[in-house]
Amino acid sequence: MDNVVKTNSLEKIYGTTIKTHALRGINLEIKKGTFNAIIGQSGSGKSTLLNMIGALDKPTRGYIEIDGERTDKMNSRQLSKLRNRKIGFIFQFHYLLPEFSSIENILIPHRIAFSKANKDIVRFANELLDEVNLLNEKDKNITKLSGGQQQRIAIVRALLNKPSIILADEPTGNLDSENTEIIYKLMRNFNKKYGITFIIVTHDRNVAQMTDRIIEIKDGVINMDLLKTA
Amino acid sequence: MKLALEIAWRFLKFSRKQTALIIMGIAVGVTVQVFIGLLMQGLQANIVQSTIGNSAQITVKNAETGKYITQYKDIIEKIKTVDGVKNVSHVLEFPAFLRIDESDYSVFLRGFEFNESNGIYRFDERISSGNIPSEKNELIIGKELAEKLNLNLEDQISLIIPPIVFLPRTFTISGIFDLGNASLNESWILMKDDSLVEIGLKGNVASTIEMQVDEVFSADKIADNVKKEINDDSLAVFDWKSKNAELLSALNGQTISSLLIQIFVLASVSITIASILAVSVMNKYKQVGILKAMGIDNTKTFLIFLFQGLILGLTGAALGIILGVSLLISFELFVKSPSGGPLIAINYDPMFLILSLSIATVSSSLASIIPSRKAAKLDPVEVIKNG
Repeated sequence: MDNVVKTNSLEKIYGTTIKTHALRGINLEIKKGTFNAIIGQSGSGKSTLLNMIGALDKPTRGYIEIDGERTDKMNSRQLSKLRNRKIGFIFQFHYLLPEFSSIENILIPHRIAFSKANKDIVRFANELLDEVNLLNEKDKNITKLSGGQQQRIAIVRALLNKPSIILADEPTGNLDSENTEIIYKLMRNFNKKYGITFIIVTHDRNVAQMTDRIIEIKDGVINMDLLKTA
Repeated sequence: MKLALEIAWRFLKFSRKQTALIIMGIAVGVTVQVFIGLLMQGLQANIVQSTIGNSAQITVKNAETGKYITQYKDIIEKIKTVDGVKNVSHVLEFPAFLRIDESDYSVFLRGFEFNESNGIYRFDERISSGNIPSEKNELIIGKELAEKLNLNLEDQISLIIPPIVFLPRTFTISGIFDLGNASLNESWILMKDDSLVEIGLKGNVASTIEMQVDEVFSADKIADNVKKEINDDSLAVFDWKSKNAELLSALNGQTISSLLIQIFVLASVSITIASILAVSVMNKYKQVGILKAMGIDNTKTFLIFLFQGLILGLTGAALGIILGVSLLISFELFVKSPSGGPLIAINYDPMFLILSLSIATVSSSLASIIPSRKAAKLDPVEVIKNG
């Protein structure tokens, strides 16, 4: 199986006078189509790792390959394109645009790439909305939806461009247990159905245990890498 | 491009009150600019019209005082070929005395070919009673002179014109004119040029050749061209600008002060937009971060805020022009001169309005460049980290 993500001796140091070593040489390979969890305590560096894989942050040393391409060799425009085409993001706080309706929010990543949403993509968006049980809410402004509904919209948005990888940073951190379960099941379902790789950062061990692989980061290094056998 | 425009529009629509306030701010600025600009233009046009509009703007005289221009018809033909010249005509001028009951009143006699000179002086509109002289023994006098000496239409008056003849000659008053200038109305007496030849002046001479120009402020340049065309050192050419330096400097001062006011108003509008959009970037900090995480590039991010400046500028300026023009229409309607007409006639110059719209829109867009660049440079990870 091919690697969708590969990190090579990844290091991240914050600050100039007082230096904080967030990551200390991470070597990690994520296989295509897998469902992974990164766990660790607050400040362990797990979100930093996720942001770097997502080309939102740059490593101090080392490099990352996404689908075999090194991100450190890319300019800002190429990085934007990479984020748009190959990566989907789900955050703890949904980060939807309150100025747009549900369906419009979902279509934004596609429109960033192609400006206009064609019929096929609108149909696909509707299918996804149906799968997350929000087809009836598609024209509602995002502010009129509950937290769980907003997060489901955010998942559909991340999925729309059929990226190679979806990075989720504490996607259920702000939700109750019922919604947590719904969100988890949806992500799992989309992982299987569309073969999209998921990397989920969570501090919730229950969520982590439902994934195929658990990577624990501690003090900026991989402390544990547990691959479940089927 | 289309997405950036749509996002810009949605951002503005979402913050309706703020957007309305900015548009009103720009509109008020443009209203003031349009009002002052057009009012000053109107005022200046009125001053120019009342001062030099119905008089000669370029004159040609013999360089030697008291001498005539001979062969004036040939010279007039030459002058007519100069670009920008109109209403060329000749005049005969003499100091004269009006004798009434053994008393002599000093007057200034002007002999016209009325049809030819009508282009400059608009006699047909300025005869308040009676008619333009049609016979050689007829003349017209000004309103003030008629009142002062209690003269009426059809009255016979005696004139002594020393340069031509010392004996009094009798003429009939065929009309009374009002040139809108009390001193001219009191001192000028006008008759046909033929009448002066009749009483002894030799023919084919003129005291002055007068003309108007299409562009009054280019009178000096046109006067130079007239001089070149005539190519005769015995003749001197004068233009209104060299004779009215004080008026000209007053007009220039007015233009500059009006321009300065307009520039400062637009500058303050631009600064307002720049500062409000800077706040707007802060308000949309999260949205910009998430759009960037979704892959929107720096150029499109820049365009989102530039388009906001453009939409605000264009809408505000258009509203400002409507308000400014409405205000001017009200001004014309309610602020009247003693004669009942508008105190200042406004020329709603479409070019001025288009220019105001363009300048306000461009300056609003320029003002949005700094906040737009700030948005383009925003690091999405900062937004993600800080929530």
